[in-house]
Amino acid sequence: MVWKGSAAAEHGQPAASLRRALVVVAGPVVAMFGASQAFACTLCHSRTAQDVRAAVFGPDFWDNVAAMSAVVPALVLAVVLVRRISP
Amino acid sequence: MMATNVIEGAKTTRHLTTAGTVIGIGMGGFFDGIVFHQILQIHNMLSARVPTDTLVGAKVNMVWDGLFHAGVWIATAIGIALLWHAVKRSDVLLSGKALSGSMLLGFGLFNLIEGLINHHILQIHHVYEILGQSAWDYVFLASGVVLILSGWRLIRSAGS
Repeated sequence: MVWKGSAAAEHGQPAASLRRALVVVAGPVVAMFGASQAFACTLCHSRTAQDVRAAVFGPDFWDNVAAMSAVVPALVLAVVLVRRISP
Repeated sequence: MMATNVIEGAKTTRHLTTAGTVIGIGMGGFFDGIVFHQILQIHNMLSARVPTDTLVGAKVNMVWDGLFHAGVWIATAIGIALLWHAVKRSDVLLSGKALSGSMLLGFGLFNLIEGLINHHILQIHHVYEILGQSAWDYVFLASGVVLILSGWRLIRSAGS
């Protein structure tokens, strides 16, 4: 397939089809990066994001980490026990 | 010929059951997280500490749910690695009963231990959060015991 505007592009004058292609490809990319991150990522810049971060990394963060992790040693011990008594 | 050699040299299901148990723990965790946390939304990881009836509360729980899922993903990955090592050993009885039994056992261990620690001792969430501690927490423990016994029975019958 021969690109219709390639010859013109070589002379510094992109053809209309090339411009259209650029718009089609680059448009969504620009729109993606141009969109407010507050809407795209609630862990970025929105008020909700700030509140979520404050709650997650609040004073009880390590207490929550410890509570979440408490099952791990018990499960590891259980697996060791199963391994020992397996036929 | 190779299969015959494997069976003749087989002495134990120990490595297989270890792998299956770890995979079962991971899959039990995924079942809990996917069915109860996400689809039914009857509890979340810290729903007894952080209420989920606000956007911020729901998203905070979502973060902790994500960490929980990361943990059970790691458990499943470790189980798959252990399974790979087990099937390469010549002294392992490659029994489907032992593997499926140990996965049930792991699933049950997850329900029993997670239920005991998270629902009853630490009370970071309950099975049906809106009720607080309820009969459903005991049903969850009982399901763990039933799965453990069923799995163990399958493992024991593997060599027979």
